[in-house]
Amino acid sequence: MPIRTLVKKNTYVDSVSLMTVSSRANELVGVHQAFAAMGTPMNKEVLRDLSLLTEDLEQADTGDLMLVIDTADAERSDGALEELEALLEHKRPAAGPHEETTYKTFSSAVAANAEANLAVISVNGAYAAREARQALEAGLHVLLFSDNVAIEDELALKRLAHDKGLLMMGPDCGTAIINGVALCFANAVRRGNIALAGASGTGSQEVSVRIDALGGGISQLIGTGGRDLSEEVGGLMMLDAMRALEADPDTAVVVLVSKPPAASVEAAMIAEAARMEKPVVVCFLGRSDAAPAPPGVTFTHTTDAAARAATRLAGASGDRPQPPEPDLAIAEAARTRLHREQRYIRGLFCGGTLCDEAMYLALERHADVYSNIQKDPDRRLAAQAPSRAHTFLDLGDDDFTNGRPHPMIDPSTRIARLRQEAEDPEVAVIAMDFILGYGSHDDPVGAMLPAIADARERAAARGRHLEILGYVLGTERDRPRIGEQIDKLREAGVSIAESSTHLGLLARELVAEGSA
Amino acid sequence: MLRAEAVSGDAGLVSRLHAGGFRARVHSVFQRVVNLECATTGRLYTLACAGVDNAPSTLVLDARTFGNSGVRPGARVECDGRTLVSESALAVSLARAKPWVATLPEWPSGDMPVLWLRELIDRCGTRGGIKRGPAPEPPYEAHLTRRIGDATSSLKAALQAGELSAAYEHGTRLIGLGRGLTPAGDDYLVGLSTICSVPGSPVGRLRPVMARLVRDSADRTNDISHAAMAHAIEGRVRESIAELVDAMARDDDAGMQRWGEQVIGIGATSGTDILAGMLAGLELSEAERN
Repeated sequence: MPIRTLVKKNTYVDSVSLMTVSSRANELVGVHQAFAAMGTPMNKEVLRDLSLLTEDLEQADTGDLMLVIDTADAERSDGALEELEALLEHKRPAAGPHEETTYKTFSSAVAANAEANLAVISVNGAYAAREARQALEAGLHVLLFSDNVAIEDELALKRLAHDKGLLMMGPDCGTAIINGVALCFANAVRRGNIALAGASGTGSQEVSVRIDALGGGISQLIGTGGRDLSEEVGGLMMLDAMRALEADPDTAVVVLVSKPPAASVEAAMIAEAARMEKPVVVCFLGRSDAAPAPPGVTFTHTTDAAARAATRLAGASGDRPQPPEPDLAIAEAARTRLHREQRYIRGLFCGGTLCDEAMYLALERHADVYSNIQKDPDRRLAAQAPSRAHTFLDLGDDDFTNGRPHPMIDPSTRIARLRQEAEDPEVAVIAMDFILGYGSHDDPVGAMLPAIADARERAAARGRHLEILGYVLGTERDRPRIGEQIDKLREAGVSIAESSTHLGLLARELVAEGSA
Repeated sequence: MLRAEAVSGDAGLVSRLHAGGFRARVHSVFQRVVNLECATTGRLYTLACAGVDNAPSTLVLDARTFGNSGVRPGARVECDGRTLVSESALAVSLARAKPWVATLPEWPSGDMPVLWLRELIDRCGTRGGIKRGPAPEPPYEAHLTRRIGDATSSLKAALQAGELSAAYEHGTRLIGLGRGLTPAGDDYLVGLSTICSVPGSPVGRLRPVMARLVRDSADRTNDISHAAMAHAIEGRVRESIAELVDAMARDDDAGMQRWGEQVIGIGATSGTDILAGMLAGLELSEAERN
């Protein structure tokens, strides 16, 4: 039984590293057992019991580190000891891209990762503020994925972060890309000189993939959390993000993405944007203020227009043609197959902002637009209520996700709703988004295809054509690839929109005749 | 040079540093902690990064890491009363150091939550020290685990029976036993000593034997681990441990959970091993009261 030992004089290595090194060394090829321990009398006694106490280990002092390796054969022993030493030299051997280390507490994670400067927190909302505060106190930027955090806590956390010069992204922040690292739900977009600050997760994702498709790239994507631009929070994080992006040397153009902010907050954001030296594109969906944009600021009312404006300002050129208008022939062809009573759009969305965008575009043409996220209380639908006229449902909203996974991960809620909508003889088109990227379902289209086929068969059995209009949010670098997902949809007879904006435009065009 | 500001620190240490004329050498350097050995007394003092809790003889800085700071073992350290300096690698301003005192609460009139602490260790405790690792273990680990188990149960039985000489012997077999920088046996004794040191503790009478055990063990474990034991028997423990004892004494569920988790986060298995020692102390206290 070849045993090699080494005593490292006066060597203090923290416990976490010591235990990690021992565990890793035990997994080395050809190693029966390996360990690293301080040279205390009791540890030496354990070695003596096992006939492992060599003469040099006997001489080890309490401040010395003992390394012992027991290999299958003599030839392996020298190499294995060197590997054990190398593990120790690197203390915590670098984790590979697919390795994970689990920590039971926040403090142990911080202690073991001194170089970390950002914490992603996804715990029950009741505990989320406490964890976020702890992270900020430890000097870490925070992405708080959790929702159901009290607004008072959100304010306190954002003020604390501001005072410390840190980012407090969230609560309810679903996406970010910081220095090229995608966090939570984000897409594999190319790096570039356009930065996004977004109070809407899927809206930011959409603008980022549109920029990517237009040939631009993303320097940073800072999520703020959905309530940041409310009256109560006052856009604290958005303002800090704008200042950080103004100072970011990799950023040339800044895009602000949000659902409509509170009026006073919107004014503050635009004033700050006007103060910035870098050009700013503002995309506040559903914004009705027709005031002209101040110098250096570009107002856009769709995500597609925001991406185009930013790409143009950043000097990026498209690597494939991206028509600004949708292919209306799709709508015309579908209309010819519809019965007279098929007059309505039903939107079943995973992305809240994508739902919003389609809804606002429909509202430009139609009055009878209902949704679970409608601002008009008379046209707001409860989650369980049946659809009415044109209905756009954000299935990722709290009403639908209470106790269930988000539809970007679990399609079951949307499958059930699709079946219901297919039974309605007044439905002309069902619009759906399919969101790719980190954290999303690994085959969002594949998961829906049987339900789509079933819905169309049900409609056909009643002598109706049911138009399904799909949009895939993603890039060719996402897994699965966007092209692969689009091909599957096309094979299933689903019409494809090129962007979230086009999805809304095509849907409303499809019911342009005979609608209310 | 790493320039940092001391945010808080052990009141005694802050006062000593403010007095000026402090000289030491760097004893050991970790990512988030640097230990100093006083040139005149040989005592260990600690500089800790932000996020590390207050502790006896420790100064907490606003720095995030000592990695790549250039601070090296053996380097000279001096303090003129305002700034602590280690050669050209480190300068720590003391102007805003808030003094902190480790305080254990009075023993409560009711029971301490023994069951809760046992469940916490079962549920969240880290395996590999006092809490057994997943079987099968390599022979060294298995034998070490067996010896730790034997020594802790023998120590506890002897303390409960009032056989103090036997307790001393079993305790000696624990010191320096284990893999980490602070071996599991030492951490267990820190936890047990903490409970013995709570004012009014039913097991306060065991303090003298624990103190003798620690006093006689300086050459049986490393300096850093021995210093932690020596502080604990004086009731001087890390802030998270003191806060946990306080929350348990007040039966404050949220505080217990918060500080319990914080203690578990100490070191690799150290936090769990400390909690195991505290649990033994509470069980002995319960037996004593019944």
